[in-house]
Amino acid sequence: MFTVERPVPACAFPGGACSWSHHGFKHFGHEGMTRGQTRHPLPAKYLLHVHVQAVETATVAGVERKAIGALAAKTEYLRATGVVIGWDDGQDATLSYVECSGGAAVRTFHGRPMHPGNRTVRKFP
Amino acid sequence: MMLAAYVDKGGKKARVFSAAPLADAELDGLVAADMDEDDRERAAVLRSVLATGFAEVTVYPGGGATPDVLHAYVVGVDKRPVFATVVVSERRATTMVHEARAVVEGFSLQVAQGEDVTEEGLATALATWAGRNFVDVPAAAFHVERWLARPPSLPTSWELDASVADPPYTGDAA
Repeated sequence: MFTVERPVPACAFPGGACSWSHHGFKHFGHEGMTRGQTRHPLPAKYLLHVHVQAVETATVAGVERKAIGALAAKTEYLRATGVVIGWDDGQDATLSYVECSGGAAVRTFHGRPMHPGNRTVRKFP
Repeated sequence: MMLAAYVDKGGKKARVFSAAPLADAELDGLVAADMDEDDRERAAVLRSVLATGFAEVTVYPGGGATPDVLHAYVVGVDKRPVFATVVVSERRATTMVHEARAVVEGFSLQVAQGEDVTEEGLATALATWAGRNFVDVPAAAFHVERWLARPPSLPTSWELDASVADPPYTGDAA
Protein backbone atom coordinates (compact mmCIF):
# COMPACT_ATOMS: atom_id res chain seq x y z
CA MET A 1 0.00 0.00 0.00
CA PHE A 2 1.26 3.44 -0.91
CA THR A 3 0.88 6.47 1.27
CA VAL A 4 0.65 10.08 0.23
CA GLU A 5 1.94 12.85 2.43
CA ARG A 6 0.21 15.61 0.54
CA PRO A 7 -3.10 14.78 -1.12
CA VAL A 8 -2.82 17.51 -3.76
CA PRO A 9 0.83 18.29 -4.41
CA ALA A 10 2.00 21.28 -6.35
CA CYS A 11 3.65 20.15 -9.54
CA ALA A 12 7.24 21.24 -9.98
CA PHE A 13 6.21 22.94 -13.18
CA PRO A 14 7.08 26.60 -12.54
CA GLY A 15 4.14 28.81 -11.82
CA GLY A 16 1.41 26.37 -12.73
CA ALA A 17 -1.11 24.67 -10.46
CA CYS A 18 -1.38 21.07 -11.47
CA SER A 19 -3.77 18.35 -10.38
CA TRP A 20 -4.01 14.62 -10.91
CA SER A 21 -5.93 13.26 -13.87
CA HIS A 22 -7.06 9.70 -14.58
CA HIS A 23 -6.22 10.38 -18.25
CA GLY A 24 -9.41 8.72 -19.36
CA PHE A 25 -8.57 5.56 -17.34
CA LYS A 26 -6.39 4.35 -20.22
CA HIS A 27 -3.78 2.84 -17.92
CA PHE A 28 -6.18 1.52 -15.30
CA GLY A 29 -6.43 -2.23 -14.98
CA HIS A 30 -9.57 -4.14 -15.80
CA GLU A 31 -11.17 -7.47 -15.06
CA GLY A 32 -9.78 -10.34 -17.09
CA MET A 33 -6.60 -8.45 -17.97
CA THR A 34 -3.73 -10.43 -19.49
CA ARG A 35 -0.08 -9.57 -20.04
CA GLY A 36 -0.66 -9.84 -23.77
CA GLN A 37 -3.07 -6.92 -23.55
CA THR A 38 -0.20 -4.69 -22.45
CA ARG A 39 2.27 -5.55 -25.18
CA HIS A 40 3.72 -2.59 -27.06
CA PRO A 41 2.18 -0.52 -28.55
CA LEU A 42 -0.79 -1.28 -26.31
CA PRO A 43 -0.95 0.83 -23.16
CA ALA A 44 0.67 -0.37 -19.98
CA LYS A 45 -1.89 -1.17 -17.30
CA TYR A 46 -1.90 -1.02 -13.53
CA LEU A 47 -2.76 -4.11 -11.56
CA LEU A 48 -6.27 -3.99 -10.19
CA HIS A 49 -5.34 -3.60 -6.53
CA VAL A 50 -3.15 -0.53 -7.12
CA HIS A 51 -4.42 2.86 -5.98
CA VAL A 52 -3.45 4.76 -9.10
CA GLN A 53 -3.92 8.29 -7.82
CA ALA A 54 -1.88 7.56 -4.70
CA VAL A 55 1.00 6.05 -6.68
CA GLU A 56 1.15 8.86 -9.23
CA THR A 57 0.76 11.60 -6.64
CA ALA A 58 3.60 10.11 -4.62
CA THR A 59 5.77 10.11 -7.73
CA VAL A 60 5.23 13.81 -8.33
CA ALA A 61 5.50 14.78 -4.68
CA GLY A 62 8.13 12.37 -3.46
CA VAL A 63 11.72 13.23 -2.72
CA GLU A 64 12.98 10.18 -4.61
CA ARG A 65 11.56 11.33 -7.91
CA LYS A 66 13.61 12.11 -10.98
CA ALA A 67 12.29 14.88 -13.19
CA ILE A 68 13.25 15.86 -16.70
CA GLY A 69 11.98 18.20 -19.38
CA ALA A 70 10.82 20.99 -17.12
CA LEU A 71 9.59 22.97 -20.10
CA ALA A 72 6.28 24.62 -20.82
CA ALA A 73 5.01 21.58 -22.67
CA LYS A 74 5.75 18.76 -20.30
CA THR A 75 7.54 17.66 -17.16
CA GLU A 76 8.18 13.97 -16.63
CA TYR A 77 8.84 12.06 -13.42
CA LEU A 78 10.10 8.59 -12.66
CA ARG A 79 10.10 6.74 -9.35
CA ALA A 80 11.05 3.22 -8.38
CA THR A 81 8.22 1.79 -6.29
CA GLY A 82 10.00 -1.41 -5.29
CA VAL A 83 6.95 -3.53 -6.06
CA VAL A 84 5.11 -4.67 -9.16
CA ILE A 85 2.39 -2.13 -9.84
CA GLY A 86 1.37 -3.22 -13.32
CA TRP A 87 2.37 -4.66 -16.66
CA ASP A 88 4.21 -2.83 -19.40
CA ASP A 89 4.92 -4.57 -22.70
CA GLY A 90 3.80 -7.76 -21.02
CA GLN A 91 6.44 -7.49 -18.31
CA ASP A 92 6.35 -6.64 -14.63
CA ALA A 93 6.40 -2.89 -14.12
CA THR A 94 7.98 -1.59 -10.94
CA LEU A 95 8.49 2.02 -11.99
CA SER A 96 5.95 4.81 -11.76
CA TYR A 97 6.19 7.24 -14.67
CA VAL A 98 4.21 10.49 -14.54
CA GLU A 99 3.96 13.41 -16.91
CA CYS A 100 2.55 16.86 -16.22
CA SER A 101 1.18 18.60 -19.26
CA GLY A 102 -1.59 20.79 -20.60
CA GLY A 103 -2.10 24.50 -20.96
CA ALA A 104 -1.11 27.35 -18.70
CA ALA A 105 -4.35 27.42 -16.72
CA VAL A 106 -5.37 23.79 -16.77
CA ARG A 107 -2.43 21.52 -16.11
CA THR A 108 -2.81 17.94 -15.08
CA PHE A 109 -0.51 15.05 -14.38
CA HIS A 110 -1.10 11.43 -15.19
CA GLY A 111 1.05 8.37 -15.32
CA ARG A 112 1.51 4.73 -16.08
CA PRO A 113 3.37 1.74 -14.76
CA MET A 114 6.70 1.25 -16.48
CA HIS A 115 9.03 -1.70 -16.97
CA PRO A 116 12.70 -0.92 -16.18
CA GLY A 117 13.61 -1.89 -19.75
CA ASN A 118 11.26 0.65 -21.32
CA ARG A 119 13.15 2.99 -23.64
CA THR A 120 11.66 6.02 -21.86
CA VAL A 121 13.70 5.16 -18.77
CA ARG A 122 16.87 6.01 -20.67
CA LYS A 123 15.78 9.64 -20.91
CA PHE A 124 16.14 10.09 -17.18
CA PRO A 125 19.41 11.03 -15.50
CA MET B 1 -22.76 21.39 -14.77
CA MET B 2 -20.65 19.98 -17.57
CA LEU B 3 -19.64 21.99 -20.62
CA ALA B 4 -18.50 20.42 -23.87
CA ALA B 5 -16.23 22.12 -26.39
CA TYR B 6 -15.49 20.65 -29.80
CA VAL B 7 -11.96 20.81 -31.13
CA ASP B 8 -11.15 19.95 -34.73
CA LYS B 9 -7.53 20.64 -35.41
CA GLY B 10 -4.94 18.99 -37.58
CA GLY B 11 -7.25 16.10 -38.42
CA LYS B 12 -7.93 15.41 -34.75
CA LYS B 13 -11.51 15.64 -33.61
CA ALA B 14 -12.02 15.79 -29.88
CA ARG B 15 -14.47 16.96 -27.26
CA VAL B 16 -13.29 18.58 -24.07
CA PHE B 17 -15.59 18.43 -21.07
CA SER B 18 -15.09 20.91 -18.29
CA ALA B 19 -16.92 22.56 -15.44
CA ALA B 20 -15.96 26.06 -16.57
CA PRO B 21 -15.37 27.53 -20.03
CA LEU B 22 -11.84 27.12 -21.37
CA ALA B 23 -9.93 29.41 -23.71
CA ASP B 24 -8.98 28.12 -27.14
CA ALA B 25 -5.33 27.92 -26.15
CA GLU B 26 -6.23 25.74 -23.16
CA LEU B 27 -8.33 23.46 -25.32
CA ASP B 28 -5.51 23.12 -27.84
CA GLY B 29 -3.03 22.30 -25.08
CA LEU B 30 -5.26 19.62 -23.60
CA VAL B 31 -5.97 17.98 -26.93
CA ALA B 32 -2.31 18.13 -27.96
CA ALA B 33 -1.36 16.26 -24.78
CA ASP B 34 -4.03 13.62 -25.30
CA MET B 35 -2.02 11.18 -27.40
CA ASP B 36 1.00 9.44 -25.96
CA GLU B 37 3.91 8.26 -28.07
CA ASP B 38 2.68 4.66 -28.10
CA ASP B 39 -0.75 5.78 -29.26
CA ARG B 40 0.57 6.79 -32.66
CA GLU B 41 1.90 3.27 -33.27
CA ARG B 42 -1.33 1.75 -31.93
CA ALA B 43 -3.33 3.98 -34.26
CA ALA B 44 -1.65 2.37 -37.26
CA VAL B 45 -2.60 -1.09 -36.02
CA LEU B 46 -6.18 -0.05 -35.35
CA ARG B 47 -6.41 1.57 -38.74
CA SER B 48 -5.52 -1.71 -40.45
CA VAL B 49 -8.31 -3.47 -38.56
CA LEU B 50 -10.95 -0.84 -39.29
CA ALA B 51 -9.94 -0.77 -42.94
CA THR B 52 -11.17 -4.36 -43.28
CA GLY B 53 -14.69 -3.03 -42.69
CA PHE B 54 -15.35 -5.27 -39.69
CA ALA B 55 -14.15 -5.14 -36.12
CA GLU B 56 -14.71 -7.76 -33.48
CA VAL B 57 -14.61 -6.15 -30.05
CA THR B 58 -14.44 -7.50 -26.52
CA VAL B 59 -15.25 -5.10 -23.72
CA TYR B 60 -13.87 -5.55 -20.20
CA PRO B 61 -15.21 -3.88 -17.06
CA GLY B 62 -12.84 -1.83 -14.97
CA GLY B 63 -11.95 -3.15 -11.57
CA GLY B 64 -12.70 -1.96 -8.07
CA ALA B 65 -14.60 1.30 -8.03
CA THR B 66 -14.77 1.60 -11.83
CA PRO B 67 -16.85 -1.33 -13.12
CA ASP B 68 -18.69 1.10 -15.41
CA VAL B 69 -15.42 2.13 -17.08
CA LEU B 70 -15.28 -0.17 -20.10
CA HIS B 71 -12.03 -1.13 -21.82
CA ALA B 72 -12.60 -2.07 -25.46
CA TYR B 73 -10.20 -4.28 -27.44
CA VAL B 74 -10.54 -5.15 -31.10
CA VAL B 75 -9.21 -8.38 -32.54
CA GLY B 76 -6.19 -7.49 -34.64
CA VAL B 77 -5.48 -8.82 -38.12
CA ASP B 78 -3.03 -11.21 -36.42
CA LYS B 79 -5.83 -12.23 -34.00
CA ARG B 80 -4.12 -10.52 -31.07
CA PRO B 81 -6.14 -8.06 -28.94
CA VAL B 82 -5.54 -4.39 -29.65
CA PHE B 83 -6.70 -1.83 -27.12
CA ALA B 84 -9.04 0.58 -28.85
CA THR B 85 -10.59 2.91 -26.32
CA VAL B 86 -12.21 3.31 -22.95
CA VAL B 87 -15.96 3.86 -23.09
CA VAL B 88 -17.80 5.59 -20.27
CA SER B 89 -21.35 6.82 -19.74
CA GLU B 90 -22.31 10.46 -19.47
CA ARG B 91 -22.85 9.85 -15.77
CA ARG B 92 -19.24 8.72 -15.33
CA ALA B 93 -17.99 11.58 -17.54
CA THR B 94 -19.66 14.05 -15.21
CA THR B 95 -17.87 12.51 -12.25
CA MET B 96 -14.59 12.61 -14.15
CA VAL B 97 -14.95 16.33 -14.81
CA HIS B 98 -15.46 16.99 -11.13
CA GLU B 99 -12.32 14.99 -10.36
CA ALA B 100 -10.05 16.38 -13.06
CA ARG B 101 -11.40 19.80 -14.09
CA ALA B 102 -11.19 18.87 -17.75
CA VAL B 103 -11.69 15.60 -19.59
CA VAL B 104 -10.57 15.06 -23.17
CA GLU B 105 -12.64 12.74 -25.29
CA GLY B 106 -9.78 12.06 -27.64
CA PHE B 107 -8.05 8.99 -28.99
CA SER B 108 -8.53 6.67 -26.03
CA LEU B 109 -11.79 7.79 -24.49
CA GLN B 110 -15.33 7.80 -25.82
CA VAL B 111 -18.35 9.03 -23.91
CA ALA B 112 -21.48 7.04 -24.76
CA GLN B 113 -24.82 8.76 -24.75
CA GLY B 114 -26.99 8.17 -21.73
CA GLU B 115 -26.65 7.63 -18.02
CA ASP B 116 -25.62 4.02 -18.52
CA VAL B 117 -23.85 2.23 -21.35
CA THR B 118 -26.30 -0.14 -23.01
CA GLU B 119 -25.39 -2.79 -25.58
CA GLU B 120 -26.74 -0.62 -28.34
CA GLY B 121 -25.03 2.44 -26.90
CA LEU B 122 -21.73 0.58 -26.81
CA ALA B 123 -21.78 -0.23 -30.52
CA THR B 124 -22.81 3.32 -31.34
CA ALA B 125 -20.05 4.71 -29.13
CA LEU B 126 -17.40 2.59 -30.85
CA ALA B 127 -18.62 3.62 -34.29
CA THR B 128 -18.48 7.25 -33.20
CA TRP B 129 -14.99 6.78 -31.78
CA ALA B 130 -13.78 5.24 -35.06
CA GLY B 131 -15.39 7.95 -37.16
CA ARG B 132 -13.85 10.67 -35.03
CA ASN B 133 -10.31 9.30 -34.95
CA PHE B 134 -10.10 7.69 -38.39
CA VAL B 135 -11.95 10.17 -40.50
CA ASP B 136 -10.55 8.83 -43.78
CA VAL B 137 -11.46 5.19 -43.10
CA PRO B 138 -14.91 4.05 -44.26
CA ALA B 139 -17.25 3.14 -41.42
CA ALA B 140 -16.68 -0.38 -40.14
CA ALA B 141 -19.25 -2.74 -38.67
CA PHE B 142 -18.67 -3.62 -35.02
CA HIS B 143 -19.50 -6.90 -33.35
CA VAL B 144 -19.31 -6.25 -29.63
CA GLU B 145 -19.19 -8.77 -26.81
CA ARG B 146 -18.79 -8.15 -23.13
CA TRP B 147 -16.17 -10.18 -21.34
CA LEU B 148 -17.63 -12.44 -18.68
CA ALA B 149 -15.68 -14.04 -15.89
CA ARG B 150 -15.51 -17.78 -16.28
CA PRO B 151 -17.50 -19.62 -13.65
CA PRO B 152 -15.48 -21.92 -11.41
CA SER B 153 -14.81 -25.09 -13.37
CA LEU B 154 -16.79 -28.11 -12.33
CA PRO B 155 -14.86 -31.16 -11.15
CA THR B 156 -14.31 -33.60 -13.95
CA SER B 157 -14.39 -36.65 -11.70
CA TRP B 158 -16.22 -37.40 -8.54
CA GLU B 159 -14.48 -39.07 -5.71
CA LEU B 160 -16.17 -40.30 -2.59
CA ASP B 161 -15.23 -38.40 0.49
CA ALA B 162 -14.45 -40.99 3.15
CA SER B 163 -16.13 -38.92 5.82
CA VAL B 164 -19.49 -39.05 4.05
CA ALA B 165 -19.21 -42.52 2.53
CA ASP B 166 -21.81 -45.02 3.52
CA PRO B 167 -20.63 -47.28 6.32
CA PRO B 168 -20.35 -50.93 5.38
CA TYR B 169 -23.57 -52.84 5.84
CA THR B 170 -23.48 -55.20 8.72
CA GLY B 171 -24.73 -57.90 6.39
CA ASP B 172 -21.69 -57.40 4.14
CA ALA B 173 -19.37 -57.94 7.02
CA ALA B 174 -20.95 -61.23 7.94
